[in-house]
Amino acid sequence: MADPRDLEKILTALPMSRRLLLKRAALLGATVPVVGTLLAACEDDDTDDDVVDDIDDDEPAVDTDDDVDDDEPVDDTDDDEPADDADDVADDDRYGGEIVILGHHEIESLSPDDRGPTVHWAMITNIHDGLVAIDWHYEIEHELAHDYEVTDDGMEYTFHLEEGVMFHDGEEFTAEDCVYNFEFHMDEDNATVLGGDYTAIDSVEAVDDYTFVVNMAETDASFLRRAAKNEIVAAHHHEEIGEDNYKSDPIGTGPFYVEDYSPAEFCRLAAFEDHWRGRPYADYLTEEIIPEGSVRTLQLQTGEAHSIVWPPVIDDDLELEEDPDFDSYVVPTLSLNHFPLNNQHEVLSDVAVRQAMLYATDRDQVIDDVFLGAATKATANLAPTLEPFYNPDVKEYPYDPEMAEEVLEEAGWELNGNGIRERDGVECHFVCTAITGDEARLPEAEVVQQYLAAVGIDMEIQEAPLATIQEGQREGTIDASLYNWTYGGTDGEPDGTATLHSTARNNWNLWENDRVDELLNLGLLEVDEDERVPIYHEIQELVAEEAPMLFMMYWDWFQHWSVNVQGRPDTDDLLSTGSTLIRYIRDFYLVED
Amino acid sequence: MLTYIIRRLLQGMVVILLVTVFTFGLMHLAPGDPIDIMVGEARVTDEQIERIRAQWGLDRPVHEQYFVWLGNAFQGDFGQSVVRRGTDVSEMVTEAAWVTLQLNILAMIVSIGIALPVGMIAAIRRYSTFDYVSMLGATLGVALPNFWVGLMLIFLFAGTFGILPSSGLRTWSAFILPVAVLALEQTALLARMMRSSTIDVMTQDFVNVARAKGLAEFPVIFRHIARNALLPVVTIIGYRLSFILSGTIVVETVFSVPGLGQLFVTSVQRLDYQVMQAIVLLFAVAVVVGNLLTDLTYAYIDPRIRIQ
Repeated sequence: MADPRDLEKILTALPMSRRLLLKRAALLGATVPVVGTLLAACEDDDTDDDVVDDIDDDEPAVDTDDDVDDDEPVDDTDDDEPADDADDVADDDRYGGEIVILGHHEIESLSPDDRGPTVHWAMITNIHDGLVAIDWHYEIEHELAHDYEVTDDGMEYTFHLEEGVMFHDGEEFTAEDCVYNFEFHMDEDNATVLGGDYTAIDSVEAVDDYTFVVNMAETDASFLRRAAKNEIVAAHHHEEIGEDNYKSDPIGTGPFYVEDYSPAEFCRLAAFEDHWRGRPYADYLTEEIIPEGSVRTLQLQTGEAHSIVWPPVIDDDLELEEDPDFDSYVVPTLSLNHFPLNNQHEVLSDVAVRQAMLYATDRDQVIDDVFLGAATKATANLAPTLEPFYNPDVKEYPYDPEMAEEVLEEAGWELNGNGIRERDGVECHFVCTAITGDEARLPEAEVVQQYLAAVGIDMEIQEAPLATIQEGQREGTIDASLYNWTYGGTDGEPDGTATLHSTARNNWNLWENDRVDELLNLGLLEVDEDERVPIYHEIQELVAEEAPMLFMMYWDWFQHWSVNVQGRPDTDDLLSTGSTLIRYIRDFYLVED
Repeated sequence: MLTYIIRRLLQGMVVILLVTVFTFGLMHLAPGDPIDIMVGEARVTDEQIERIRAQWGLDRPVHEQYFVWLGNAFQGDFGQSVVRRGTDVSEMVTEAAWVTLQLNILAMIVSIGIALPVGMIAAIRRYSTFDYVSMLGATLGVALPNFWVGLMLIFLFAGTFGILPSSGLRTWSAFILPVAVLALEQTALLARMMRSSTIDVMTQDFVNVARAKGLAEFPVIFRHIARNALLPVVTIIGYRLSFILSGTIVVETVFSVPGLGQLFVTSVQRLDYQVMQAIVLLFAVAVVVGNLLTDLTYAYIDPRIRIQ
C-alpha cells in the first residue's frame, strides 16, 4: 500500500517557482526549435513537415482564479478613517491621478442586481452606496442611512437617511428611492437575482424624505447584512430606462460615476465632485480586463496597475508578498475548501466513516505541500476570521490514522483481502468527482486519496464539469466532490441556511439534521447579535461532530496594493476578504515613486 | 460559372443550417445552467430560479427555442445576450468581429508581404546564407506556440523595455505585438510553402523553354515561375481566410483583445446561448464563403482548372 509520505517527499522535492519554470520554459522554447531546425536541416531541403513544438503554456500549479470559489464580495464602508501611511502628503496634493485595478473577465453589468462576481462588484460598489455597509472587520456601518432603529421583535426597521445626498445626475436621493429599490426586488415578476434577500419583507414606506421604514413579514436577522447593504439605484433613472438598460447606464450616489465602459475591455469611472462624503482623491478609477493571469501579474510589477480584483496564482501571490513595491493583505477566505459528501450514500451515510476520513487526513501537510502553506485549516463550517461567530471549541480531528482505524473498526468496518474495509458485504468505497481540469484541487484529491487508502477507505477519483457535479449532488447521484463553497459567513452573516438546511436547494451534502435546521431557523429569528452567537456556535459543534463534509481548509485571499497608493489600512488590520479594499478607493491617493 | 456559384451557395446554406441545429442541440445538452452561474452563492429558492428562467425564455422546450431563434435570425435579429442583458447580440458580435478582422487582416498583409518574397528569394538562391537564415526563422515561427511567443514578447517589450502596451487595442502601438504573433506563424508557413513551391516550378519544362527562348531572368521569375508557384500558396491563404474570425482565440486572450475569440470563450464559460449560437453561425458562414472564394481564386489563377 502506498505511503502518503512518499508523495509528500515527491511534492516537497520540487521547489520550482512558477517564474523559475517560466524562465526555464523560455530557455527550452528557444532551444527546442533550434534543435528541431538542425534536425530538419539534415533532411531533404524541400520537406514542408512542420517541426512540432510541444512547449506548453505555463499553467499554474495552484490557480485560485476559479469561479467555484467566487466568494461573494464583501461590502464595506469606512466610517473608520483608514490609517494614513503618508501623513506628510498635504491634503491638496492628494487629489488627482488614476487608480488602475485589474479584472479577469468581462464586466457584464454595472447593476447592483449583478453584484455577485467580484469583477462587477468592484465597479458597482464605487458607483453606488447602500443604506448600510459591512466594514473590513465585518461590522455593520452606516452609509446612506446615518442611523437606524430596529424593534425588539425585529419586525420593523426605521432608517434615518443622510440629507443632501445627490445622484450623479444632480437629483437628490430621498426615501422614495429606497421604496423603489426595495419594491423592485420584492416584486416577483422582476425575478431579480437579489430577490432572495427581500423575501421576509412585507412592505416598505417613505415616512418623509429622509425616513424609510421596512415592515417585515417575518423576522430575518440577516436583513441588515443582506437586503439593507445592497446598493441603491436612482429610482427616476432606473424606472425610465429599465433594468436591462441600467446594466450599462447606472446612476448612483457613489464616489465615482461612469465615464467610459466597454464590457470586455475596461470600465473607467471619474470622480464625482458632489459626492456626499466629499470628492474622492483620485480623478479616475479604471478596471482593466486582463484574462491572462501572468499578464495581470506583469502589469502590477511594471506599475501599469495598482491592484488586482482577483488574486493571481499562488506563487505569484507569494512573490508579490515579498515585493517591496507592494503591500499584501492576506486573510483566509470565507469559502470552505472541502469534499462535499453525499450523506445518503450507503457508505458515506455512516458518521464513523466521515469522522475516520478526517482523522486519516493530515490536512496541515496537504496545506503545506499542495497549497504552499497559503491556507488555514478548517474546524467546521465557518472561517476563523468570522468573529464572534466562529467557534474554536469544537471536536477536533488531529491527524491520527490509528484513531481513524479504531473508529472504523468500532463501527464494524473490517479490512478485506484487498486492503479495503468492508461491512455487511459493502466495501468502503466511493467516487469523488472532481472538477474537470481543476489543476488547483486535483493534486489535493490525489493526496487525500492516499491518506484514505492507508486506513482502508477506497476513494476513486473521476472528473466532470462543475455543473454536472452540482446537478448530481442535488439529485444524490454523485458520491462526493471537491470544491470551495460557503456554509455561512458571506458579508459577515453567519447564516448557512442556503447550504446546511435540509430543505435548501444547495444542500450539497444532502445532510439532514433536525437540530441544525431548528438552529438555522432560530438564528434568523434572533435579531440581537449577542444572542445569535451561541446558536451559530452550536451549529459548528454539530457540523464538527457529524462531519457532513470533509472540511479541509480556507485558502488565503491575497489583496496586493502598490505602495504608491496610500490611505489604506495597515496590512494586519484587515479581516475581511473578497478584495474588500476596493470599496475604500475613495479615500486612497497616489504618491510619486 | 454563375450556376456553379449558386450551387455552392445553396450547398453552403444547407451546411450552415445543419451547423445551427447541431450547435443548438449540443449547447442545450451540455451540463450547466446560465442562471446557476449568474446566481452563484446568492440565497435563492427553486421558485426564484424558475421565475428567472421563465423571464429569460429558457423554460421553453429546446426545439421551440431553436425555431424562435431561427425565425428571428432570418430577420437579422439574434436576440439579446443572456448574460450581458440589454445588449443586442448582433451589436456584440459585430464589435468583436471588427476587432478580430482588423488584427487578422493586418497579420495577413504583414505575413504575405514578408513570406512571398522571402520564400521566392530563398528558392532562387537555394543553399545560400539567406536561404538557411530565412528557413531557420520559418522553422522557428512554425515551431513556437502562439501562447508562449505572446507571453515572451509581452515580458520583453512591455515588461523589460516598457516600450509597448501589454494589453488592449486602444493605441496603434498596441496592435504591434498581437499582429506580430499572429503574423509570425503565418509568415513562417507561407514562406516555407512559397520556397518549396517555387523550387518545384523552377524545374518544370516550361521554365526551361522560357529561358531557352532567350527571356531575361526577371520575366521568367515573375511571369512564369511566380504565378505558378503561387497556386498552392493561394490555397493555404484561402484556407486561413476561412478561419480569419475564429483563429485568434489564444492571442486575444493573451493580449486581452476584445475580439470574437475572447467573446466566444466568455460566452461558452457563461453559457450565453444566444451569443454562442450567433458566433458559431458567423464562423460557419466564414468557412463556407472562404472556401468558395478560394476555389474561385484558384480557378482564376490556373486556367487549366477553370470551371466549365
